[in-house]
Amino acid sequence: MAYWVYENYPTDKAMVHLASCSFCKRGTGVHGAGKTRNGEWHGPFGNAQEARFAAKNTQRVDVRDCAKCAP
Amino acid sequence: MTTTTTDPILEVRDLHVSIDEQEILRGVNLTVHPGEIHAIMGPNGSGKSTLANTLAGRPEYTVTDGKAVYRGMDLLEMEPEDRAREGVFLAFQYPVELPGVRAWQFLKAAVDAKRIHLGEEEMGAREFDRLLRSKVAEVEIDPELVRRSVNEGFSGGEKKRNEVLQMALLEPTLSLLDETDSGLDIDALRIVADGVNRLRRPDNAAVVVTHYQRILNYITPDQVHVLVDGRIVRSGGPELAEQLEAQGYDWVREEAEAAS
Repeated sequence: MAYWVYENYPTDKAMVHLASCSFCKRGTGVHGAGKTRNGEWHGPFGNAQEARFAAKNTQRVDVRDCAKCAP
Repeated sequence: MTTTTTDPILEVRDLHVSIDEQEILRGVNLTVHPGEIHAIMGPNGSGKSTLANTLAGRPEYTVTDGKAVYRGMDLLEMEPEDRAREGVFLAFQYPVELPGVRAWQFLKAAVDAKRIHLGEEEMGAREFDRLLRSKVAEVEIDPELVRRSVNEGFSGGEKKRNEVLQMALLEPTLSLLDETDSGLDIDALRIVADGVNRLRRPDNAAVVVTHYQRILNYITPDQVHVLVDGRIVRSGGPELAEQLEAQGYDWVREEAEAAS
């Protein structure tokens, strides 16, 4: 199972998703893959721990797991 | 007082402006050179804000006569958005709230619009985020504010700091500050003034519209102009602002009436 992190600049947030999450879609999300207009996808990561570490490393104010896919 | 032989950034000649067929400005003359800060002072209703808003291009003001040349361009023929893209910035007296529009996205759109106008590419989101963080620190604004909707729920001081943040990001050639000091406590006033001072460069200029002298304790103008009944009736150095603070505006008004 793969995990991704979406770093959202306007909201200063980094969120961990399962690759299968409808908000993630294997790192393509709803605004496209890689660098988007407002943020950036990081991944894939092999496990949730790695993804959470990467999310924390973004140094965003709000770092959390996606409430929908609950990775 | 600074004197210079370079071309002016702004040259206003015999400017007449009306609102709802009532004449507010009755022949304003003003020349602003690069590197200069000009203060426009005057009693309530004298036309100070009308001058700033007219130069920025607010459509409710009708220019009935005169001209304003900005860096060799006919400013009055330009659309407000083109004036902004060319480096004219108006800091509002009462900044508006934009519910649902995050400040981060609003500011990026503004920066990108200017870059595209100048033939550059839009700034990448990460690059802009870094720039914004540095400017947020520079103008001492709470980083939380740029994650919220523009000015929504901001205090008066926060709104004015947000105006200075916009200035810092857009790096205007001509900044028009319309009573930026109104509604500010002394700490906010200092921060706003510091922001204006930090942005001062040899190739830009600012026109500071104010009713009170106190902001000029922090921003030292090259020239002070007194606007009374739609005309600049007196100009001088920073000492003129101190004289106005001490003596009020009546003596200037009386002098102007005696001369006319």
